[in-house]
Amino acid sequence: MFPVHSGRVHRADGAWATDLSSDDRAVRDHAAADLRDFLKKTLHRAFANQLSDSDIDDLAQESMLRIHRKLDSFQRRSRFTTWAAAIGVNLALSELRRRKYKHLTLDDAVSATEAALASAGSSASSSSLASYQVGVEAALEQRERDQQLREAIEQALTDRQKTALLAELGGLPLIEVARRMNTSRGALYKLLHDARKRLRAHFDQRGLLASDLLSAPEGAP
Amino acid sequence: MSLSDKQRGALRKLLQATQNREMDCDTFVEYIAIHIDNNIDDSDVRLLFEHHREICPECEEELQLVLRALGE
Repeated sequence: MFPVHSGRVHRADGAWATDLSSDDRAVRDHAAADLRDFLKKTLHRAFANQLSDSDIDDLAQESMLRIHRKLDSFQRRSRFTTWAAAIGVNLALSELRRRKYKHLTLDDAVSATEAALASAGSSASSSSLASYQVGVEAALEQRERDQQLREAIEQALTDRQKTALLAELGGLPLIEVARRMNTSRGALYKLLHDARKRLRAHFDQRGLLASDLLSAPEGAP
Repeated sequence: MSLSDKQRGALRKLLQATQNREMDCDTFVEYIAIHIDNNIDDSDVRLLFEHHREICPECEEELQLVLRALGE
């Protein structure tokens, strides 16, 4: 028997799934009350500084619903409480990220990075200015590297890959990029993984090293 | 204006760490509890999980928060 993590809940780990789906309503209700208590405590431990008590109550309730929906898929490869806590944290973290980035649109995130790439080398920039301090030659090299990077992204990636990559570089978390692109976090990761492989192949074909292309400008802090 | 050093560094790290086979975020999340209880017995899956931790700061943050939630 695994020890449970919550100080109040003294249920044997193996009994959770059974009790939560028991035909006996009293057993089921008691297990549900214990689970709600466990979720509140764990979420409070992880998010007390970021979420109110009311938020934690709501997220614990939402976690309960998700746990019930997924109960049949619990494979007992971990403690039930670890599995339940992971579900609660996943929901809470998603909610926090949603709130934090709710005013940042996909277009904003993409266009900020796009503008940075599009104007690379076209004028004196902060990084170029730093380069000027060590000489015009270094600035020209940096300009050429920026141009090669922009071309790689334009030529090697699909429009969807480009959008996802630029949004990620623009500071939007993957889960928020996924939400805005109407896809799952996992599917978005696969899209970006393929994009990275394409960029690497593009560089390899041209004898370019990503480490050189993406090195910080000389003289930069 | 150009990519910031932070963006440049993030892209460099991503490209350098890119492997042919990688674990995606949804799969990683499914393995968090199993990892915490030391039950990922497939060494291939374990390597993919550890690689994902290195390449995806958001998933690593999620893992750390689950550990904190459990008081570990």
